[in-house]
Formats: sequence, structure tokens, C-alpha cells
Amino acid sequence: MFLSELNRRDWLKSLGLGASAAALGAVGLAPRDAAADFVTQKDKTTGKLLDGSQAVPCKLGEGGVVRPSAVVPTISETDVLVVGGGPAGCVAAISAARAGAKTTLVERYGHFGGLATGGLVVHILGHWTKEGDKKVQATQGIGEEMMKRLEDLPQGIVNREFGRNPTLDAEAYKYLLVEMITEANIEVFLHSWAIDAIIDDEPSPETGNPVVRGVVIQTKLGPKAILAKQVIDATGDGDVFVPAGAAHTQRMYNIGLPYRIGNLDRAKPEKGGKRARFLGDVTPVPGVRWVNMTGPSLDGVDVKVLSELELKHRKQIWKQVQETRSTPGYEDVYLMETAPQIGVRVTRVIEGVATLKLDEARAGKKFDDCVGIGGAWHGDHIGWQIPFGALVPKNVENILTAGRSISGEPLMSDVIRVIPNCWVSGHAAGAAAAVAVQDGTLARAVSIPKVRALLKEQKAYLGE
Amino acid sequence: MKRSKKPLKSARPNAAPPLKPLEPLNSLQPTKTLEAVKPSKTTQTPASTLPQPFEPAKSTASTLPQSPSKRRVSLRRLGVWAFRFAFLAATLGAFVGGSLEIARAAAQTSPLVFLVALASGAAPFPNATTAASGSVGVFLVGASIFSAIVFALTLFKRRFYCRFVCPLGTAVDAAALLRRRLFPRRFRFLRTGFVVRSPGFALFFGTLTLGSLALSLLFGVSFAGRSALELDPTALLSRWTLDFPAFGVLSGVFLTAFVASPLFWRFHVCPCGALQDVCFFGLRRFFRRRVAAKIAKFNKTDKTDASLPPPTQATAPVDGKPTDATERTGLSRQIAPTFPAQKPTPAPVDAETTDATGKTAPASPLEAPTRRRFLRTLAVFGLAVATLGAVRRWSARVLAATPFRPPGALPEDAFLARCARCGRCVDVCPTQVLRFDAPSDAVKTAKIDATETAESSENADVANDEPTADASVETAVKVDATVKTSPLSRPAPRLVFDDGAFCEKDCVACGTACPTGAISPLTLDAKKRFKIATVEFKIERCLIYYQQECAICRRECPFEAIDFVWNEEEYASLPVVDGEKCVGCGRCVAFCPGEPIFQEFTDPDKFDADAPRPKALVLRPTD
Repeated sequence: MFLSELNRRDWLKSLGLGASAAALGAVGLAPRDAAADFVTQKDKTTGKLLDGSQAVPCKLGEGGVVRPSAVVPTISETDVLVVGGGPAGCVAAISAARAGAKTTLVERYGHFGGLATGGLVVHILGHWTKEGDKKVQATQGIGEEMMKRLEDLPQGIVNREFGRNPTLDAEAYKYLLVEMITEANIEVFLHSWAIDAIIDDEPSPETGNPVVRGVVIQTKLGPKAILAKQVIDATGDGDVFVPAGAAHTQRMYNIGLPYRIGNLDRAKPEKGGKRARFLGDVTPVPGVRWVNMTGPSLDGVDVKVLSELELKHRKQIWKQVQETRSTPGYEDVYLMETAPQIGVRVTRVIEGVATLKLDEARAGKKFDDCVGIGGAWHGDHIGWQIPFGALVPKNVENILTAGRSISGEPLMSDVIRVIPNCWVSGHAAGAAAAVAVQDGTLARAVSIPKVRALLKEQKAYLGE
Repeated sequence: MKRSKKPLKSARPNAAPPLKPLEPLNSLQPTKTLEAVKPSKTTQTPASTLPQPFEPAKSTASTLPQSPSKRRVSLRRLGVWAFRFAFLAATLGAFVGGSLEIARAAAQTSPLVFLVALASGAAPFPNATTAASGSVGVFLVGASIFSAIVFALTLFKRRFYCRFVCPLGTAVDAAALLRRRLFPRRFRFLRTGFVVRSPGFALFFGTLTLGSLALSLLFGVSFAGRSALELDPTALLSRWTLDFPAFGVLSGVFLTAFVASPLFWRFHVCPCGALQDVCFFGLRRFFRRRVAAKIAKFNKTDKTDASLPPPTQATAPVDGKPTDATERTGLSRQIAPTFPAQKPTPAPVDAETTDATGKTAPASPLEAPTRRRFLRTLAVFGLAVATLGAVRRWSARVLAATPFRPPGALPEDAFLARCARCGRCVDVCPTQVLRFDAPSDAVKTAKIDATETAESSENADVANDEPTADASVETAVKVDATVKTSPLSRPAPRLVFDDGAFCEKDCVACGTACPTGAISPLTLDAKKRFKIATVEFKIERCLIYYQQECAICRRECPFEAIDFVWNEEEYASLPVVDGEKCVGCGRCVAFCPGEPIFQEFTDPDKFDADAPRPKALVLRPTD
């Protein structure tokens, strides 16, 4: 009786897990042994038991804490390694994978989408530009594909009308990214923080610069190495290019913590005749709104700052929601969730071969190596070309950056950092890395016509 | 009444004799007049020139049929007309060909504009840094020199500008000529001459025009927001297409030319004409008196000596007190005799000569400066002055709120007085922020005030979408609604920020284009420091205050005057405007998306994303 029940349950379990394992295997995760152990409930005995003799802890020496050297096991070798699974990283990985490169994506949280999902910055702000008197959607390609597919999902996206800035649903986007990344056959490492870059012994014979060969990620099982022919740093904070020694500037910017409130469909604003202040903006889900926060301008890579702000912001959010609830007519409003990921806007920015400048962007400066068109907030100025040089660090090889960390002067970074522009720069970086792998060239020396051709093939908008 | 008529009738026969010498020339046009005048001037004493150069036009109307020496005249006439039409074309050319340089140069030839420009130290020789460089610069300098020459000639040749250069004069003469060709003399529509020539009328208008002219030039005070400069012929012509008042004035000018006489405008209204006469007669009187004194000394005889009657006669109208009105009215020959006689103020020096004027006219009615006559003149004069004062006071009240003036503009009063409303700055402004229009601001202001109060009661109604949108429109306009205008006048150009226009940082076009110096031609550096307005931040309209994402004002500010500063109390990083760096160019205001619109989740269709919204950054006149 008991056994048979157990067996049936086990059988069902193995059926379900087997299917999911097959799916995972297709993705490339393939933790077959673990799955088998789990299924047979024998993990306790078959799991690796360490006696602790292999541990190499840091030591407190005279000069402070010292990390002893140790060999880092390599867990993957790939063509294109994308670090950071936010809007830029996901698009980069999808683009490279679709171009035929073996692609690996590393993400520090358990989901994709970065600030767009985990940060609850669900506003697609700035994919429109003006050309003459008419509005043009500068963000095409994979970004547009994502928006289209979100449209097909129930409550995936709202305000998709021409000329508007849409708002997506964080959960829908998380789901969609899993779907797209799975489709593209991308190897995925979640819950992995990039902690170091791997530099080749030999500097590049062409340029004399150090060459990036991969990334060390921190996992629960300790640091692991992933080797790659091309690396794309889409972490936003330069988690890879900084340890690789790329020249960069560090900026302070507003750090906030968005949140979502619910039950707004039950609100009766006419009751008090006064609109509550912290109502934020609409989301695709009825009755749910997201509320942004500017926050103070501080150093977004300083853990003390981040910790302090998390505490402060959470208190503030609670206060704001209570204020909303105490407004007559809004009694039913409740705090749905606070963003799991703090809203860091801009931190480190590479010093690229080319640097985007606001005045030039406004004047519509043309670049020979244009690999994308950036949009403007509120569609109030013309599209600006993104030169490939803005993705390439001055002094390190085979690493590109995408997203908010591409080279730009401070006020320009503020334009660059928004989601649609991250899509565009990510798309460019992914395509360029794929072409560089294909041709066996340095990322810096990639054939721009080929990259542009590939981008066009993937329906990116390059201004023509 | 009766009395006023009398002099008129008597004046007519009077008029005839001096004209006779001109008749043979059959000159309808001033051109011919000039011709006629010229020889006589050279041969005779200058006195003979005094008879109006334009008068022949009238007399010729009657003498049209008999034109003996037509051929002799024709060539010269043709030349002069060609010259005059060239100027008319140049002024209007700005519209046809879009050449503002040419239009500006044409405007500068007006003695009035030239004098004002000279007085404000701005225009005569535009320096290389501010004016256009290269061939255009050379052209402008050349034009300035030319206008200096014209001005100098105006001092010595009576109404030189009127007769040879003035584009409006050309047009008016052409209109009069047309009239004469089209209709025989007896079909003259209206006999308004008697009105026009009545001393009261002349005195009234003279006081108004010359009074405001004098106020403008001397004190920088405008007359009902419309300086005398505004009636300058070149200014009028240059803006007739864009300005209803100007169009109205011009229509009036042509109508009077057609219906009555082309001289009406010239002698009773045109401030440029008045100025020419002031200069001419002022100078003339000065020299005349010196000559007269010399002769007197030489002859040791009385002025009435045979050698001097013409001068006496000539000076007569002028020599009265230099009251503007007198001088102007003195110009028209018919009135000449009437006026000096009744000077309200005694003209100490020449009074006796005036009275003793060898007027051939039956001076008796005029020369009986009865008390009643004196009082009446005084009353008319007083009425004119009172009108001037009242309008001025009224306009001061109406124009109390200072609108935003272009960078480099003189202080408000001086600006209003110097500005000819010629519209050149409006034409050159690349962002179109500089405009004439003042769309029924009075009404809007009223509405806005209402909105303001509604807002201050802090109700932003969510329930009702319609009123919200309406309110937004009005408050959006409020940005610039401090301007009120006088219905008498087109307002001077101002910066209109309310629909997304702003003043470009690297641009000094308006100052460079201004022919009168109302807007000083600033260097680029000076322009970047010129305070146009003050930016005010309205926190309760800022997107960030509502915890929405925005950074546009800081990004767009060309002077880096806006920064975001953390505000612990509001728990947001809010824009702060640095008053030192900010010049009030309005760019941030133009780009400010305005306060958030509450998008109804229940009914998304009702949501209008493009509806204008009250802006968080608002421009206020700088104190």
C-alpha cells in the first residue's frame, strides 16, 4: 500500500522531472546526476562528501586578509559569453546565438530581465525619435520582437500604441525571456556572480593589449571559470571589464527602489476629491500600478551604500503606501511587492574607442561604424547613432560592453541607460561578438559591414 | 467755426501765386517738384524753396492738361522714379526675396530710424563681431554710410528723404498719380482739404505725433506702447503683411492719398516727415539767423530791407516757437500764415517778423490774434497734450506687466520707444520664439487666474478627465501669460515660450537684425550672460515629485544650470535651478513634460497622452 503509493508518486515525479530534465538538457544545463539522485532520494549518500581538506580559505595575515591562490575549475567553454542577464545581456545573447555562435549567459539572480523585471522598472522609456516632424521607432530588432511577443501574452504589455511609451509586466517579461533564451539554445548560469576576468598570458600581438579569455563566476560551489572567445560585459556595473583592467569612469547616480501597488481598480478617488501622490504609473495588470523612486545620487557599487539604501527605501515605501492608503478613496490599496533588485541607474562606464556626447547626439552626428540608433525620452529629439567604438574599451581586447556602461559622457549616460537603448546596444554587441568569433578576429577589429549586415538581418534599425 | 473757414478760403487764392513758377513743369510728382526747386534754389535765395515741394502735386492736378516742357523733364523724372522704386522694391524685397539684410539697410535709410539708432549707439556701423561678416557685413556698413549721407542731405535739402528715398512716399505718390490719371479733377472724391488744413486739426495731430516722437527720442517713453517710430514708413512697410495695425495704417495712408491728398500722411502723420522738418528748419533757422545777423550788421539796416524779405517769409512759419506742432503745420503752405500768428507761446525773437510776414495773403483775419482765437488754439493744443498724457497713463497701466524681451533689449520703456515694430527680429529668429502675437491674452490671463486658484486648492480631479485637460491647456499658457497688450497697438516683439519655443544659446540674430537699436547687437558671449527671464520650479507639477522618471530639464539646459539635489523631505532628487547660470532661455520649459496625467486603468481610451500639461518649470520676468 504505502510502497505502491510511493512508487506511483515516484513514477509521476520521475515522469515530470524527466521531462523537465530533458528540457534542461536541451538548454545545456544537464545536471543529470543530481536529477537522478533527487529522483531516487539518494542524494545524501551519493552526493560529494568533502572532508574539508581541499578548502582554501582566506587568511588573516600581517597586511590584512589574503586570498591564497587556487586553481579555478572550468565549467564551460563557449564562443560568446554574455555576463549579465538584463535587457542588454539577454538581447546580446539571443543575437549571438541566433547568428550561430555557441553562447553562454551568466546572471546573478534567478531570473532574466535585470532592472526591467527584478528592478520593477517596467517602463519602456525612449524608443521613439523624431525624424523631421514624424515619430520613428528607433528600437527594432530583438527589442521590438520582445515587445511584440509580450503583446501576444495576456497582460504582457500596455500602451503599445504608436508614439507611446509602453509599460510591460515584469512577470510576463521574465517568462518571455526564459522562452526566448531557451529557444535560442543558450547555455545559462543563473545565481552566478561574475567576480573576475580571465586574461590571457600573452598580450594581443596586434595591439599589445591584454586579451580577455573568460570570466570567473562565484557559485555556491565556489568560483568557477567559463572560457570564451568573446566576452560581453552586460552587467551594467562593469563587473568584468573593471577586473580586466579596462579604462573606465565611475559615476554616482540616483539609486531608488520601485514597487508595485495593487487594488487600484477599487480606488474611489472621487470620494476624497483628491488624488493620492504616490500612484506611479499604469501597468498591464488592471488595478496594479508601479511606483518609481529617484533616490539620492550615490555610488551604486558600494555595498555599504546599497545596504543602507535598501533599509531606508523600504521604510520609505512602507510610509508612502500608508500615505496612499490614508487618502480617502484609496483605503484598499496595498503594497504588492518591492523590487527585489535595487534600482541602480548608472555606475561604471567604460572609456571606449568612441564616446557618445549629448551635443553630438542632438546634432545627429553620423558614425561610420554605426551599429544602432538610440531613442530619446519622450521622443523629443532625433535619433542618435551608436558607434561600435562606444562598446569597445580602449585598452583591453575581446571584451565588449552593452547596456548602461557603454562609453558616453555623464549626461549622455542618462539617455543611454534606459531599457530600449540597452536592447539596441546589446543587440549590437551580440552581433559583433558573433561575427568576431566567426572571423576569428579581435572584437576591436570586427568587420563593421558584416556586423551591420547581421543586424539588419535580425531586423535592427540602423537609420536607413 | 466761421472763422476757421475764412482763412481757408483765403488761403486758397493765396496758394496759387507761389505755385505758378512750377506749373510749366507740369510736375505731378515730387520728382518734378524737386527739379523745379533745385534750379530755383541755386539761383535764388533759399527762401524760394520753402514753398512746398509737394504742393505742386496739387496744383499740377489742375494744370495737368497743359504740359509744355514734358520731354525736357521726362528723362530726369524717369531717373528719379527709377531710384525711388528701387528703394520701394528693396524694402518690400524682404518679403519677396527674403533678404533681411537688404530690408534692414532700407530701413536704416529712414532719417528717423537712423537718428534713433545713432542715439542708442547701436546700429550705424555694425561692428564685425556682431553683424554678419564678409560681403554681407560690407554691404551693411555700406548701407550705413549711405543712410548717413541721406540723413545729411535731409538736413540741407528739405524733405530730401520724403522726396527721393522714402519707399512709402513713392508708393503714396504712385497712388495719387493713379488717382489723377483715373479720375478727372472734379471727381475727387472728397474735399477734405479744408479739414486737413484747418489749424486745429494740424495742431492736434502735430502735437500727438511730434509729442510722442519727442517723448520717444528724448525720454525713451513710448506712447501707448506704440512709439512714433512705429509709424516710420520703412517700419510700416516692412511689416504690412504680418501686422493688422500696420496694414490698417497703410490702408489709411493710401486711402487718404487716393481720396484726398498724398500730403496728408506726409505732413500730418508721418513722424519721419516731421523729423525731417524739425531738422531742416532747425538747421535752416540757425543759419538764416546768422546770415541775417551778418547782413543786418553789414547794412546796419532793418531786416525788412529789400534784400531780406524772402528770408523773413521763409522763416516765418518756423521761427515761431519751435513747438513741434507749429513747425509741422508750418510746412503746409496754406497753413503757414495762420500759425505763426497764433503761437500760444510768444516767440521772442522773430515774433515781430512773423507778424510782419510779407504774406501776400490777406493776413487780416489771421493776423487778428484775437483772444478767442488764441484761446481756441490753446484749447486744441491742450486737448492734444491731455490725450497724449491720458493714453500714456492708460498704456502704462495696461502694459504694467513686463513681457519677456529678446536678449539685448533695452530696458522696457526705452525698448518700447525705440522699437519700430518692424518685425525683422521676428523674421530672423531661428526658433520662432520671438513673436508679435499676443493671442487675446487678457482673456487667457483671466482663465489662468481662475485655474491658479483652483489649483491652489489642491484638487487635481481624477474622476473627471475633461476638466483636467482643459485646465492643463490654460496653465500651459500661463507660462507666458503675463503679457497684456494695448488694443491701440501691436505689441513690441516678445519671447513667447508657451508652445515649446525657446531662445537658442548660440544666436544673436535678433540684435543683429534690429535697425533701431531697441535690441542691442550683443556679442555671443554677452548674449549668453543676458538674463531674459527667471525660471521658477513648481514642485507639485514635477514628475519626480510623483516618483516618476525624468531628467529632461537637466539634460536640455544648455547652461548646465539645473542639477538634481536630494530632498530628504520629499524623498526625491528634485531639479534645482542655479540662478547664476540660468539666463531664462526657456529650453528647460520647452522640454519639461509637465505634471503626470493619471492614466485611468478602467478606461484607457479616455487617456490623452499628448494633452498639454502644466509645466513644472515656469518662466517669470526678471525683476
